Amino acid sequence: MSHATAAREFIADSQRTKWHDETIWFVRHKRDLAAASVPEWELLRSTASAIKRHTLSRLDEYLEQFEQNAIRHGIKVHWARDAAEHNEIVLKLLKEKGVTNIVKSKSMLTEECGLNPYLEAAGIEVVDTDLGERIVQMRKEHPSHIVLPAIHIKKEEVGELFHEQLGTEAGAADPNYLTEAARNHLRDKLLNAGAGLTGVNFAIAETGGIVVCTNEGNADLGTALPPIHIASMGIEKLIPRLEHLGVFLRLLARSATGQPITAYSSHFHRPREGQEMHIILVDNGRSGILADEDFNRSLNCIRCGACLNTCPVYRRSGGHSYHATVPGPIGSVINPVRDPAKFESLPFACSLCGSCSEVCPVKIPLHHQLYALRGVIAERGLLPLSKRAPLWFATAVFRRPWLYRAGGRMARMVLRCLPRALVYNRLNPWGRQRELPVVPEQSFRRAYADRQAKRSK
Amino acid sequence: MSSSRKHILQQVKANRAAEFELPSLDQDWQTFGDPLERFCEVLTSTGGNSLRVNDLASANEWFEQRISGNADSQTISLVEGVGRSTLELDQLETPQELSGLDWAILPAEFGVAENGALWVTDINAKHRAVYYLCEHLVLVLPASQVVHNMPQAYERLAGFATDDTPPFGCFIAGPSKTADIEQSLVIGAQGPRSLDVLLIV
Ligand code: SF4
Repeated sequence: MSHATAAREFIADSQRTKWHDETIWFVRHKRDLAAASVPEWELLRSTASAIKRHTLSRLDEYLEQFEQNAIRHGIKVHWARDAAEHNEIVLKLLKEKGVTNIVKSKSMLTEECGLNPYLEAAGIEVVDTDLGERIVQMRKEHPSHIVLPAIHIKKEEVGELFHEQLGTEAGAADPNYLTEAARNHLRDKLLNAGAGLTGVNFAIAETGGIVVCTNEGNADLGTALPPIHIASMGIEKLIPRLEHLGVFLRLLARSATGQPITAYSSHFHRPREGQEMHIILVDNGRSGILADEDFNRSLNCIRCGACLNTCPVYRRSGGHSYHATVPGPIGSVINPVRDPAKFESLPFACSLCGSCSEVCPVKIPLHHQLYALRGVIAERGLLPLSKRAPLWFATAVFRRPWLYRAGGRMARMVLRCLPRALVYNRLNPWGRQRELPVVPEQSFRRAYADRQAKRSK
Repeated sequence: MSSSRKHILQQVKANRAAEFELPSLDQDWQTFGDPLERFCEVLTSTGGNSLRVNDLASANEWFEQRISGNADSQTISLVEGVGRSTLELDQLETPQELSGLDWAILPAEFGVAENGALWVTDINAKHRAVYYLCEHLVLVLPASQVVHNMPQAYERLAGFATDDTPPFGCFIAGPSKTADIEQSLVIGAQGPRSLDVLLIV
């Protein structure tokens, strides 16, 4: 389904669209305040960008170094070529220990791999412990945002959901009350879990450890209680040295929510006594993107969500309209790069305003990449007819100056008396949200010639 | 499994991005006139609370007042002289036994002025869950141990995760919180509902 088609449902409710837009703009505004409070913000961005680009140029070395150090610390390291292999590894580890219920903290990678349905089909109870993720999980939905998974849901809807599933009072919609109910429910799950799964924000080659950032402390409880910790990470999450965290931790939370740092930034470097710790290094298409000089910088993304929050299209169309694990500007780059045929419409869900590139803490040139991707999609013949036909027509006209002139003359005449029904109908999607401008008396060419003539007098 | 390892590493090597220099971290990073003041300010903005006390005895007095009226609250203290432990962390077999713990009084190693974070480790805490499972967390820190910024913090942490250092460390900034329901900030998600930092001046 194209982005425009999927977005139609969301924007049908204009009140809700406005609410969504404003809620997310509020987060973007907090990001601006946080960024402005750090005088060396631009230096931080360019440093972060350079560290990541350097890492990509030696990724194989850093991966091996990371593995070596992790193993030395008693962490078990696994490698997965794709989603299926990742899921199999997780299930195998759980089966070996006879684990039937697990808790998870936020991980976009496991979303990407479809881990939850896979484990559930194998009879394992999976509980997402991030409140937003738990809400979408209970609604049998996917996150609509990479940092704020339930940003599209209203508190009344959460109230109703919790009333049905957690037995909270009917009609209660106070976030404090609802969060308290979730706290009790989740603590119970955390205390009884057989294993804890986390994502990885940063992995450090030099130390063989990982860092996980949360505000709720759920990754910490989810790893400090159960006897097994499994961490899933994309191979692009590496940074070379511990000290580089001093750059990235300053950028991540400020870019994401405007906080100076997340409430918990946990550094895991060895299993607890009596605990097993596993790290799964997942490729799933990443090594392929690496080869693509035009787009490999998308692998530098630290998943802060700032480009989503600033994007005028994302804010007004909602995350689900992207039909992808990662929505918004960065999603519109990485998804079509991997699978252009499936995601051909995403690079067009963009006004090329450039705001995403402006806020990105690792300076991925997002809007340039989105523009370039349009070319890739056109070249591969993946444009839908509705875009191909007008382009073909425009090419034909612009190639022939006489036809262009004649067309202009005709348009100025015809447009004045054109019945509205001809422009504003179902066959012309362009007319749906637009009014045609008033037709000028004379052509630009004519006006320009007159002006030149007057000047030379 | 090892065939996947080989395959991924081969692919990554063959597809390496263009050479790019590692930048220098030796820069003019943000510092503050009064880092302690700044630390307290930012901590407040994260929902935490700070208090300067002269010594551990006054810290203890503060705590007694804080829990007054709740004589039966469960407490673990790893800071000698502050609070009385009703449970011994070392004696607990499993971290699950910490469930129901009201107060944890624990030492922090240092604080960071730019973001109000405190570095803690599990070096003396047999169950690191104690930081997260308690209802209320109190961290005790010598006021002299506040650095300006994160680059300085990592200078202090150089060597972390080498063989005889703690396996786990965490920057804690404020109590546990969430804004997942309509962006309304709620303090006390899964972790502690409050964070008090006692600065010994
Ligand atoms: S592309 Fe940049 S702004 Fe967008 S999520 Fe990734 S790091 Fe953040």
